[in-house]
Amino acid sequence: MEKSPLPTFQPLPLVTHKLGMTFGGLKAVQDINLKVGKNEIVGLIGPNGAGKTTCFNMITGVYTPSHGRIDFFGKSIGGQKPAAINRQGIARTFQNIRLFKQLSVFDNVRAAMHSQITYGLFSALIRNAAYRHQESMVAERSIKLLDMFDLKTRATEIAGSLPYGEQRKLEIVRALATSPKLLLLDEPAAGMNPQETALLTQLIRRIKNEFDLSILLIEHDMSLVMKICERIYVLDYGKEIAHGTPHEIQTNKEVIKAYLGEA
Amino acid sequence: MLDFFLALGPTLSNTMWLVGIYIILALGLNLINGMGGMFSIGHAGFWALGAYAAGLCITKNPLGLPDFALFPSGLILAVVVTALAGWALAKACLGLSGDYLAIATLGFSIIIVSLLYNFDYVGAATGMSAPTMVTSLGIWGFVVLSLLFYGRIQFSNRGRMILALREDEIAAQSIGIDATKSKTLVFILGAALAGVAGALYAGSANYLNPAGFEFHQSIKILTMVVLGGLGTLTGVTLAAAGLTLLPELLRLLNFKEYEMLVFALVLLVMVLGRPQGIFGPKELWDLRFIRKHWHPDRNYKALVQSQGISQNPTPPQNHKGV
Repeated sequence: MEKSPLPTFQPLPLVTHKLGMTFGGLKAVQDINLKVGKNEIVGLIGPNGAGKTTCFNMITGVYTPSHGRIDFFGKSIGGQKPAAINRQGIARTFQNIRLFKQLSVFDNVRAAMHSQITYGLFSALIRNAAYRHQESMVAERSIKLLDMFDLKTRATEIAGSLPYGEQRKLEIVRALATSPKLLLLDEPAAGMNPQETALLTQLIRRIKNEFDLSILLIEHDMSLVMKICERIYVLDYGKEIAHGTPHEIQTNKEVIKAYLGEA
Repeated sequence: MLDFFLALGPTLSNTMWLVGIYIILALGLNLINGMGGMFSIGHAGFWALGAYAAGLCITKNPLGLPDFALFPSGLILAVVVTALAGWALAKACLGLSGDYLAIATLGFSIIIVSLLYNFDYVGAATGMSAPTMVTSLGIWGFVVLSLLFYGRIQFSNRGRMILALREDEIAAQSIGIDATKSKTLVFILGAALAGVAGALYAGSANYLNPAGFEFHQSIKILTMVVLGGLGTLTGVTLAAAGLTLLPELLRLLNFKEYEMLVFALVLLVMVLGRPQGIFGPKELWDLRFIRKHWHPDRNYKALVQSQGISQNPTPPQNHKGV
């Protein structure tokens, strides 16, 4: 951890300190120290059941950590509710896609922009100027965002009817619609073919640059991870076994052992 | 047979007030069950509470109000009381999921009715009579307002938040939606609509007694919502009208005693055969010749027109079913 080249004088987007989660007697995650710098893409890899998604769930408030701290730009967020954590600037996607399936693509994005709207229930009932103005503003922004990801032509369709790859993309768009400073992607390339994965790789890079945010991603597809991550953490049995640049990870003995077994 | 047709006209016009009240009740439950996705089977409890609150205001007039103010004050009291009850029930029960929430709402409605049976001040089992305060036309004015109320909530920011929670609570929370707040709100709004229906009932039924608000009434309202299609506006409104007229038609045909049997059959057939409701997710404004000119969501309509590619109707449909 100490070999991290990142400056420490300004609070980092994400720092976890000795983060741990136990389910009954099972130590799912132990002593995880993650750091994600500003405008950085960090990978979280490891075999199935290593505790990667558990880490995500703790960072996003789905689980309350049993031990340790989570700091978001220097502020402790561990144990807060998922909605409160999102409002501070952390958005995520899910390993098994969780869209609002029966709602239109348009509404999936508009729902995520709820915090940009300040009119109340009464304004909605009488449809006053505030309602009309803010509704068209959110509609405009949603369409713009969908257009950036080539989903505009799909906007009026029901989200559940989209092809798999576009559903994954829509989930990312929905997360971005909350204007996050840190984006957590849980296996964004799962179920994609090599071409789609290549497109996704470009997409993630583009998101980082155009939205000025940091990304922490879980992924099994090594071609994607090695290409876009600046640093990688490797988890196995709930513990960090390695951490470094893609090149360091590829040559790390512990990592090879975890993935391929002992020689 | 001739008798049947001769009696049909007067029967229909004599039932219109009740049709209006059931539409408002169904819309209220539709907010909770259809839009909110929370399974409540105690809606008649809120209705009873609203009816008795307004009935008390009208008949006892504890504040000594002039006659013209009796019904408005009764209506306000009914809405306040039911909204408070909705808030309290939501506060107590929203931690419960699915079946347990249903049982809790059932318990609530049973408690309300038992209290009314044993409360001498409101006439206990005998009930109380109240003068007519609202006309059928007045009730239909409230129906129009209730339809607007439902539609405008659905096509608002809060409506999208509520629908998102119904679709996937974890995902909704991950985009910053506070589940408790939105769910409590939808419960309060649904209960308040039942309060409006209760006040209108107290002002037009001439007579209130606890037997009129028992469990079978909750089932009747639930049937309307399921038959119409959970979360739809057009379907639920038509289903509420149809199912209110049905017993009257059965009575004309001398089948009155089979009312509950017919209801149960309708519910069973719908759940098995067409769980998405009579028109599925389709609304009136999905008809092509209406959609061209009007859609409750202006921005959605603009998008459809700019693309000219949409075949899909507007979303809100609760497929998770009962």
